[in-house]
Amino acid sequence: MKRLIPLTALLFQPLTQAHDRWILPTHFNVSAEDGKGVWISADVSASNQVFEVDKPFGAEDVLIITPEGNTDRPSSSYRGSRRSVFDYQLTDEGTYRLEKEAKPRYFSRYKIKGQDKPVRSNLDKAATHAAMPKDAVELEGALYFSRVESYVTLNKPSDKAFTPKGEYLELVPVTHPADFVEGEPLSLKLLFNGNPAQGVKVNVVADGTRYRNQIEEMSLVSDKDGLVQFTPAKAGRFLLHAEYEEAMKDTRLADKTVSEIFLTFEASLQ
Amino acid sequence: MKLKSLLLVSALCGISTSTFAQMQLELSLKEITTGQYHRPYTAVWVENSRGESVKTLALWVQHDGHKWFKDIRRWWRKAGRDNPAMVDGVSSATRPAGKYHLDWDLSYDEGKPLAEGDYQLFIEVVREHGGRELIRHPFSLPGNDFNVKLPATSETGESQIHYSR
Repeated sequence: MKRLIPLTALLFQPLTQAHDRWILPTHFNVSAEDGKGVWISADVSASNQVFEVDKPFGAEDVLIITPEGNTDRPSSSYRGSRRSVFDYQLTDEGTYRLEKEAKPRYFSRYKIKGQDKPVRSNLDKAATHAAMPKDAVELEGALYFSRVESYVTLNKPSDKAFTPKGEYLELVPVTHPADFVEGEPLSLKLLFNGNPAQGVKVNVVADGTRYRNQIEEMSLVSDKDGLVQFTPAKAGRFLLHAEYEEAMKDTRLADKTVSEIFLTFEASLQ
Repeated sequence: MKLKSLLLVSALCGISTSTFAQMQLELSLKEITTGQYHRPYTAVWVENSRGESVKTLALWVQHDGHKWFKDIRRWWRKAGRDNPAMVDGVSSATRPAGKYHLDWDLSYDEGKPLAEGDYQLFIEVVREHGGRELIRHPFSLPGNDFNVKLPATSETGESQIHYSR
């Protein structure tokens, strides 16, 4: 059994080759007189290129964590063929978190002798084992969990919306997202099940890949305290992708957990 | 017999380059191991001095209707969008990293020989989740024989163009 582990690790590269997913708000920082709300709108889509709307990733189930830490829903939403859109009115001063409701999901796959391509399944290992043909081999399973989120601030920034839940991979800004500025280092903390997560792979790509030949991504790995630090070279919008894998102790339902985060943020002009 | 008739055709056309002239391209697609790898969409074509496409030599693209053609941006603007019949004739599946040999008899898409003049050979390589490269090499017909090395790029290895009259 031990012998199988490195092989599994190799084969295991993404069980699903998923698109990037993102919530892109029209504004990341807004100002208003006391008591006057501000409307924002946001695109929700999945694509292979940063912020090129492609697939209708729903906006109906977007959660909004208010500066007080309460949970709210969009005022209205629309599902189009290439994107979904929602509107929301910021009424309380502080920082809101926009988040696609995340649920853990199992994925499994196995091979059939003589066939190259693995058969994929949306069930856990045990259920897949029960359903797969007798001559199937190399059954593997993973528990996937992904978050898609962004932060929006009305007037003075606040931190309550950062409060982690202690489940799966989570991202807590150390530099406040309202203070992300071009040419200045910013840092983020990554947690797994509430503890600092070392070795999280983080990629950051600036908007506009359609109009340049190279993706120009920044690739980072979190340190022992779960921290990553980088400097956005230019002002603009960015998509951050963080991914973390951990082998499961109990492998009846899955061999490992794969947890990821897509964060959309803005770096301001100096 | 065949030779004679070929010579006759070229004599009749008057403007053609030598019947035996040809161009060979050895194109190398780079092995890329970082990130999510998908085989690149690749187009190789020739434009005249007015920037008009005269010949598409190769089009390697995922076959999913014409959906991905637009991503081979310059080729699509110059050649693809105007000539669906040519596109269907020339397109084939994406290729893995490796060396590929392309022969061109210096004819137009429609098959008749190319006129004398200045041209540019283009190679456009575009990878989903990856980069893009646009390589160009100017040449003149009839011109002198040449053998040029195209330096490696982020998507291609060292490639070569060989021309003989």
